[in-house]
Amino acid sequence: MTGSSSSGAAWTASLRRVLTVVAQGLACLAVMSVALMAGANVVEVVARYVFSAPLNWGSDLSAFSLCACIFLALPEVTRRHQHAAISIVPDSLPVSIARHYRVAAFVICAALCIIVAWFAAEIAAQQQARGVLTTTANQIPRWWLTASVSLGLVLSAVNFLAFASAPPDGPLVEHAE
Amino acid sequence: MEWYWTLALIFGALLALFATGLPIFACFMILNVGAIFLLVGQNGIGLFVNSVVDTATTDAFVAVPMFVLLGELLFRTGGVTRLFAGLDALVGAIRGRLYIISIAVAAFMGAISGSALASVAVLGRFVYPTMIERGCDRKLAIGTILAGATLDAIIPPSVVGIILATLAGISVGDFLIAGIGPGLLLATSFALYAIVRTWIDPSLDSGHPKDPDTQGSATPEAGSALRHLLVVFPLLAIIFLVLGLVMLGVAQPTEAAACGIVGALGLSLMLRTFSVRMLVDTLWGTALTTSGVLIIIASSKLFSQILAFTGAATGLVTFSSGLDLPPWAFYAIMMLTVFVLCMFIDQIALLLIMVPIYAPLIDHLGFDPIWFWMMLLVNILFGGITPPLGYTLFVFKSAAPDVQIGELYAAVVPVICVAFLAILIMTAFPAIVTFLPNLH
Repeated sequence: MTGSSSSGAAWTASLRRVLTVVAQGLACLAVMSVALMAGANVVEVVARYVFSAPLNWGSDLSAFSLCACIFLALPEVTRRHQHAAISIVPDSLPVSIARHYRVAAFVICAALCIIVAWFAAEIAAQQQARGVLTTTANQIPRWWLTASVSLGLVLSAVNFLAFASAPPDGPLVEHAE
Repeated sequence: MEWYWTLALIFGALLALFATGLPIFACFMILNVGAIFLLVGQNGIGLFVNSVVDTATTDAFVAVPMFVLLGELLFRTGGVTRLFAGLDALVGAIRGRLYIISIAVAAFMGAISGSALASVAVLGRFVYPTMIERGCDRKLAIGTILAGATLDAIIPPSVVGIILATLAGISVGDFLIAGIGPGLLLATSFALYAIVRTWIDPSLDSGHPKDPDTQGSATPEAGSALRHLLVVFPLLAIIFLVLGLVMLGVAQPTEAAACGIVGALGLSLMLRTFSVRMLVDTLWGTALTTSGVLIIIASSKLFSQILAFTGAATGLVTFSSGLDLPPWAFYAIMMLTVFVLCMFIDQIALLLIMVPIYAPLIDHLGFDPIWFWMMLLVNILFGGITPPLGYTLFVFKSAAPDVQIGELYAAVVPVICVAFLAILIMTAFPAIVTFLPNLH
């Protein structure tokens, strides 16, 4: 009994470490997207106001980077438990009920993210098959954007499930550096 | 189903979801996916996914990470610490000086952080204990800190302002500039309130500063004041550069923020606080904040279309136009509604609910959109610190655990009264809001 519970705890710890690496790896890409957005806008300002030669790709690059930033950073936001929520009611519940309530809430969030991610993946596959492009001046395959939604949501779902399986008295976030 | 039942059902369902404590983005997702599934069927979920992608690639929302990045950079350059020290020295030994400084610093921090909650948490943890240590009155200190932090979304550059303007379909630049008048009026009102209170009861004042070098002096030397002004100047210059470019119509808000980012990087080099680690931390913080805010907006986008699709929005406009009420009565009802709701709903979440409902009404009632949305924003912010449920109060309580909830309530009531007076002035004189945007 003790052996199985300790192996379960070790498995959970390993899962959390993997999730941390994956979430932080994707967040690094989100950080690059922010840098790309800032860089594109600075170059746009210089090109427009110094050289009177506005770029035709600056705003498109910023918009695509914004989408990447939102969904690539999403698993890390979830892992750090940083989503905005109005927790007045759950906070006022008795401790014994609050534990079960918390698990149920995380499972609901995970299920929701998986459902939407599933549909997003289906749509991305359709868009890829049909060769659908974005309607911007500089076009890219639209499925790239839709797939980022799916990826962000599915990894967030896994993080919600990790919260649900966390020990009741343990911290939700272990490495929120 | 009649439109009012539909509206009540949608509204009630959303409030119930918020009360469960689920993340706000998940609440909007459940409502929108559920509603579109019931209305259109399984294929409707594709509409939801597409609305998420479209929102996440909206050009106007690029301003959000740009202003968050600017704020993060200004924080990490050490600029805010210098601002506090500079203002502390510059204000000198006038009555109520620390209260005035706390309002100014809180307003500045709020303006660059874009979140009243974040500002309140930081100020409650760091500025409040300092004020108490220096002999300030507890209630007056709490009141001025909360009042100052509440100015965050009013004084530009404001992330919440950008989001509201984008949702309402008005010029982001004009809306940001419109915040200057109300922000100054409110800040001045709070400062006057602190001065009057300390003038009536001098025991509330913090007395003379303890360390003349860093905390000002009773008779500051001209050279010292100039030195402190020089410290504050580059920081203020960046803020004015950003605002000036938008105000003069020279650059879009996103481009102005980009100029501000270059300025902030230059400032950090000048102050020798720049490092690769600082830059990475700044970008990291920006990415997480942007994701956390914009996932809510992306998840909620379909909400306005569902209101329109079910006929609830049209029904409300038709019903309102049939009522024999003067526009000011509508205005009062609309403002009172958001004032009550924002006591327990996150400000961005509330904007996402109320903008689609109010937008058709204000066209019908003939209100100036910039003035109306600014008044709504002011109301929302002060609802957040209104007892008994104003949730910004609970953030302050968690940052300063020794403060009793009763003390907190007593501290904010006078500030709310001052804010209410300022709101009445802005209602009577809309030019306070509209004057600057109308200049260009």
